[in-house]
Amino acid sequence: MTTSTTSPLLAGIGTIPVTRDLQMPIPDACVHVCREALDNAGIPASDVDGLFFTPPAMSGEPWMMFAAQMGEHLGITTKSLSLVENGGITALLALRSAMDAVALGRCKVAVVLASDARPLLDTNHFEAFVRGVAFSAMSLYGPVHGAMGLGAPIPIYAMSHQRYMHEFGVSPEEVALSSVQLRSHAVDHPLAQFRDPITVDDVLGSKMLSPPIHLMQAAGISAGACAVVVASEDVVKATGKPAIACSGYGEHHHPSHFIPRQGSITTFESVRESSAQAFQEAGRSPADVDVAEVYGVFGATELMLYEDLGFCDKGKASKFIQDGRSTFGGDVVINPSGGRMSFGHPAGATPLYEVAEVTRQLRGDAPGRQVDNASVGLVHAEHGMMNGSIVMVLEPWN
Amino acid sequence: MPANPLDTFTNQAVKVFGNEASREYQRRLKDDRTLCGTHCGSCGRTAFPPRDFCPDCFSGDCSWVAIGDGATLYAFTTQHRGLRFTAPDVIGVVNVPDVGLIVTPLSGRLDELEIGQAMKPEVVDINEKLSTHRFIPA
Repeated sequence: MTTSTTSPLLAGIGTIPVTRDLQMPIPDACVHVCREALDNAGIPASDVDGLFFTPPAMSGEPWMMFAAQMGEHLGITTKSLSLVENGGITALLALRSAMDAVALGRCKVAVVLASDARPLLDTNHFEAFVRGVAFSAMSLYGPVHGAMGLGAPIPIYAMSHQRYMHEFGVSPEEVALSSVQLRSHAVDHPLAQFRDPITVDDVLGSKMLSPPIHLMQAAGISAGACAVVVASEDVVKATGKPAIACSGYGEHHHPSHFIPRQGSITTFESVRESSAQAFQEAGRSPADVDVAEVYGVFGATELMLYEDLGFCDKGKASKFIQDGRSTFGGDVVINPSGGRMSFGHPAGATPLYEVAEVTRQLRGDAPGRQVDNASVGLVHAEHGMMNGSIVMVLEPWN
Repeated sequence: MPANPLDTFTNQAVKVFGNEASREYQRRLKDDRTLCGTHCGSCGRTAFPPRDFCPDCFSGDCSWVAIGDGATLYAFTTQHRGLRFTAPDVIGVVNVPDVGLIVTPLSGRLDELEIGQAMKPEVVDINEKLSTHRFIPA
């Protein structure tokens, strides 16, 4: 029987820039970020005994036994091997699985490898898109939802945005502030996809997708890959390198998918519950957080997240931004990467990119965008429309 | 007119992933022209999408019940690349008494709709095998 003897630590990270299309084949991207992450951790590949993957193109064709095939390609023998999938939360679930495995002593060094690319969203592949996305979207309740032709999440988030303005008296200009602020963070970020400065007028003048969501209030189409090394305390000690501990963890899945039958679409129960759990375990509060990476894929969603994570009162997030409290020099720097709307959103890999940014910030290794004295970090990821969330409080180890 | 690929994939999805309750739901929609949920005789909650068990208390004592009376419009928008209806495809969420929030196609122009207005369900035939519900101003 195994017993828990160690805290799983985040020991190294590897990233490639986020781009519209992946700049290399998926296996090459995985190898690249894996090597960089191990180098960053100061741990040789021969010490790796766990590999945790996300599906290589989440909305694409299934790639059977991807984890085993990549294990072979990397030449790594493992005691723990897995592939995890559940929408946008996928990469953080894979990280949690790796941390569980290390904590249980099933392996000592696990590499979490997340990648995403969206080949099927090419308009030349419309039928494949219908098959890949709509088929799964309509699956369980095919006769109920399949006939409606709902194939994308944008209209669902649009209705949340509409309700947010309706319930809290927030104006379109105020919602647009989230896009402008995130872009200002991305401008100098070497990995970010969208870096040209924008204004509120630019946001509200951009193409309307599903009212009231404009183009610049939605994450674009992105590809990328990211790796995180999770290692046991004794392994990290031997490297002498700075590592990050997860001091608090929370996870909550509401029994719903996109629209909860009962409940709000402007206050997300899963975010409140998972952050409350994580803060309690860490012995921290939202006011303690110096830097956060959160999963706001749309403009109003970004605002609601600040509120439900406890950084500001309900309906007040745009004021929070306007007062400079969510950026450099404020209470907490939220999404110094530029967030999902400007950093880019390769969904299957996004949560690991968030972990990578917070890790760099906590190690003081974010030149040009370093948050002063960053010592408490937070990462949030979700699936559905916040129907499920994970929140991790991250802090430097020792 | 070429077949909408959605027809093929809906039928495949029903075969592979569907459940008996959703098939009965479709039959009631198509043959009885009625939008239905399932009512739990044990805890009194009404489930939608319908189930042959109660997702609130796990009882198997469920019966079919027509839903939609007294619905109000909760939120609405359009999608321009809908897979079924032509653009702009107006969709929304309605609040249905005893059931809760339901995603649904809507009939009506976006600029004529208003949060809170009274709505009622109707049945729309997609083709000879497939129907869907939509809500229209009451």
